[in-house]
Amino acid sequence: MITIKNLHASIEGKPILKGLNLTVNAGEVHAIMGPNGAGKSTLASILAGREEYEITAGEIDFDGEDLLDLSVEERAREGLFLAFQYPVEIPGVSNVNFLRTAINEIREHKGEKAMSAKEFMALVRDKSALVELDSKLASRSVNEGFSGGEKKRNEIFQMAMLNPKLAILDETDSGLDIDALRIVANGVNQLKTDQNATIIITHYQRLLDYIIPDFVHVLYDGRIVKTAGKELALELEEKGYDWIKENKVN
Amino acid sequence: MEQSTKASLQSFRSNLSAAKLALPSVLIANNEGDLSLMDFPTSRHEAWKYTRLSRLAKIQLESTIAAPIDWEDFNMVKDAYTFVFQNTTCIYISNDLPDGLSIKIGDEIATTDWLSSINESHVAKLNVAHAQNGCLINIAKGIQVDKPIQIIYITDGPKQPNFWRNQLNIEVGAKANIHIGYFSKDAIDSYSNVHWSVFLKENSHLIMTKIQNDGEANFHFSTENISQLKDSNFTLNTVTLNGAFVRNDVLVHVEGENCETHLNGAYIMKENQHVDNHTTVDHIFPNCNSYELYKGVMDDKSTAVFNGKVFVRPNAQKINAFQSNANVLLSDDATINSKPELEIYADDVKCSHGSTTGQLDLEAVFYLRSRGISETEARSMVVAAFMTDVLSKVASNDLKSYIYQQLAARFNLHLQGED
Ligand SMILES: Nc1ncnc2c1ncn2[C@@H]1O[C@H](COP(=O)(O)OP(=O)(O)OP(=O)(O)O)[C@@H](O)[C@H]1O
Ligand SMILES: [Mg+2]
Repeated sequence: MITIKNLHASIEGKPILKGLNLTVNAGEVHAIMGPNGAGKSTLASILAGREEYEITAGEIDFDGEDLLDLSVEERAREGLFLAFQYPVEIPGVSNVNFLRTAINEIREHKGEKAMSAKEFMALVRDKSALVELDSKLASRSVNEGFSGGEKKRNEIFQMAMLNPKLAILDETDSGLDIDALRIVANGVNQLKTDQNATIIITHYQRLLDYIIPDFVHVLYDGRIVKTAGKELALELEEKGYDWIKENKVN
Repeated sequence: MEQSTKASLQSFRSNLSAAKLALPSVLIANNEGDLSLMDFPTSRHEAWKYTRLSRLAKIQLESTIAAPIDWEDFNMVKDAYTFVFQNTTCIYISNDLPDGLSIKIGDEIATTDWLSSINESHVAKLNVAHAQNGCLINIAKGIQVDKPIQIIYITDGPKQPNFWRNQLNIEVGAKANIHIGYFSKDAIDSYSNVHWSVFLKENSHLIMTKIQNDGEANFHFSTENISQLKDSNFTLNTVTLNGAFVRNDVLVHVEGENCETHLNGAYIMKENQHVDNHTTVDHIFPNCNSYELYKGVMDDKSTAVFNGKVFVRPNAQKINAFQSNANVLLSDDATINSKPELEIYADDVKCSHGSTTGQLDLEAVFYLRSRGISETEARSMVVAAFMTDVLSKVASNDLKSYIYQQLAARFNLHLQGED
């Protein structure tokens, strides 16, 4: 689904990603862990198309397309979704209205006809139930006055509405209480098919008790330095990152 | 320099006809004398610091007779008591006015009908000198007008001078909602100067909404002089959508206790447009509230000026006065000069003012795009969201949808009405 080769990226002249390689296939769940400042959100931002970063080397293939050639909205229309670590508040823009615009722009891009109001409302009901998002929140201004946990739940609600091929969840678990964590994880699991894939960026193996990853990667200093199965998350939880830093082969 | 501007006010007036309205002698007594000593203000005049009149001063206005038009092309709302002026001719009058609403046009207005609200600016004095037509609206005691009153002014033709003078009396306990629209057609280097004297008696209630949607080459000056008596409630919404040059002077005298004053302004500008909002709220009596919210979005090389003054006189205790001006600049070449001013001479008051100017929230735009929305649409959604609160103050849903249609057509901005 996505193949990242030798990705180098910098911001304001400062290199952040330093030769990152990652391949994710349809049907897989990948977890990316790593210390603060390692470059995890940078990777997520670059995949989503944030323009502040300079890509100095490398390539990204997304289902046969050169991802770096696509605009932010084209990536979304091709099925890429980022659940933001810090979702922004947009007072005055209603959550459901903007999602309706988004869905219809995506449909238009695919040459499909617009979704009817009725169909759309049914989808809203269905998907807000999936993540147990209060329907009042669904129709309020985007994230305005939402609690930290509600914002994260709203991200998963949007993901459910847009049904992406590749979802990247950047610390969606942080700020969630135990119940919300279970609900969000349950939502992600229910959306999982053998046609789509998920990249989960997290600091805690707790989330991975609910969403079982096929691979766990450690991103350190701009590179994936270790990849293993789900047991790696447990090991990291126990030992921290120092042993990986020490063992890191250049 | 000085000399040439002075000469230019006289030469600017040379083709203008003298006033056709029968104005009271207090208004006209010193007017000509004052005008003869005046010139167009320059940037050295505080009130005109950022608004240059040099281009206007060079225009030779000439009134011409316009061909008949279909005023419906400029209609804002369907269900209203409507009056329409094409240049200085009244071309349409609703004939089904309800009891308690009376409207006199032009020479039906007697000298004694007029209030003597005197403004010192050259704009107001020119209006007195050249007022050609206008209306005097009276809402009788205790009457609540069931539909909005709609007055439409159309400036038709190039270099057209239009001086309109109007008065609105809201008697004790009366209530009205008035929509005023300023438009133009083929108005290249035309000039419109409109003056409103508004008098709210005790316990009366008025919502006045001005839509300024002149053509891209028209100069428009609008002056409102408002007096509020005890327990009255006044709202003025100023929505500026188009016009090469727009100047608003709003002066509210709060002359009684327990009054409420709301001034809302929305200006959405592009290209080389210029809009200048000067407002003054003068609190003379205690126990009153005033709220002022002006918001603007400026693109291209457009410029805006906001100057809001609030005076609280020595005996006007227990005043709450809030004022805010917020701006979004969509281009590096757009400018805003914003100056909120409070002058408080009483000690038991609550006042606040603030002014903000920023760029479009690019994080919000990125967020929307990351969900598949095009950049143009995302930008327009964020701009529309910024304007939503001030535009939502326009109380009539019909007029609001008219404004939203205009914004969609001219700026590709899509605002959602409340459900
Ligand atoms: N706009 C910026 N300007 C300068 N440095 C930046 C900018 N954005 C990110 N960085 C730097 O890039 C590095 C990687 O940041 P990033 O947000 O990708 O880390 P992370 O792995 O997501 O960390 P965390 O676990 O704390 O979320 C950090 O050192 C950060 O300070
Ligand atoms: Mg991060």
